[in-house]
Amino acid sequence: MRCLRVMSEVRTLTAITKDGEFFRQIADLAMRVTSELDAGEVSAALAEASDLCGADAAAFASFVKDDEAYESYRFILACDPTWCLEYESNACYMHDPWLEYTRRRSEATLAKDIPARTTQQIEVVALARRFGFASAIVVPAQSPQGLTRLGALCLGSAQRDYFDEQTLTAVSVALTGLVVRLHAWQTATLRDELLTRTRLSQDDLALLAQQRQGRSSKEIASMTNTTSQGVDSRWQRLNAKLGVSSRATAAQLAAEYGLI
Amino acid sequence: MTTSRNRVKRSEPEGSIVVMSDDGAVSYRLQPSRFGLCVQRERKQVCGHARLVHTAVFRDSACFLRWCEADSVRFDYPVVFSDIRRKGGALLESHERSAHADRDHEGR
Repeated sequence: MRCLRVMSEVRTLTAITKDGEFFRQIADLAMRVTSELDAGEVSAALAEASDLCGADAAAFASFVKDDEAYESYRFILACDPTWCLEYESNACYMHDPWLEYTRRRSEATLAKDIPARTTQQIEVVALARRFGFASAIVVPAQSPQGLTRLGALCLGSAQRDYFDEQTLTAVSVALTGLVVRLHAWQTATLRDELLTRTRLSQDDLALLAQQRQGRSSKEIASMTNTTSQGVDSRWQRLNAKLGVSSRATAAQLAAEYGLI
Repeated sequence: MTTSRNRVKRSEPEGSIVVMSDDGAVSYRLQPSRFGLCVQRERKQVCGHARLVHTAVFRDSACFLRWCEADSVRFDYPVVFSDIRRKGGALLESHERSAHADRDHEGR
């Protein structure tokens, strides 16, 4: 890895992207990202992607609204992790313009083209710059409509103009597949964690899917040959398992975590 | 193992250690891997009701200890901090020893 880094430092990003081997290597890397990997292996894959692009830092960020009370921000890092500690202490997640961009847009962009309007947003960007993202590319991952969960890969360089307009298209084409795989990995990980924690049964999942389709207790009771009261009792137990207060929240949570 | 301030338990996957504060506001999963020590840190923030989880792989003790020193947990949960530092350091030392042994073996 060290040798790759030394080699990549002497090549410009233009030279890297003109080499067809670059696209093949990134595609191979994307194909290696499966739900079987643990977070450490994904972090190593990110470091490899960063090296292949000649970058200095990489982070895959994801967001999901857990329930009425909490929203989760997750970062897999291939950069100095002290950045995340400072990001947390300064509550940067509340003002992060790059995350905000990912919420609204699906195309890859240069971080310098994402406006930082408020003092807090400017501070978030300044913090990223201090930790190897002086120039950066942000590649969002799409989520199905109606869900809050999102993901984005951010590659950074300590060199100010390393990522530029000339290479944006090539780099984003190369990275899009990887981002899709990373986002799928994150969703699968969240799903497995929730299933392990809550021990939902197949019947529970079917009930959640029916709620998601807008079916009432009466309709579900008629489909499953039970009573409305029986369905309501099942909902009480299911809400308790998931730690939420309503069936609508339970179904939304299940959808966010890829259970239904 | 339980202390008055934090809980430590062995958990899945094999070889990983989870350390968390009694109030559940902060937790760490330490997982040895072939790349080094994989650390997943989770902190629940009152501000904005956010849960922040970050994962990084440390290849050597110096980087890991530097990261530990920068963590606000050092002041908020000193027992958790000391546990993480000690257990993470031990896992990394073990990783470094086996990496050296592998290199020696390959060199022969």
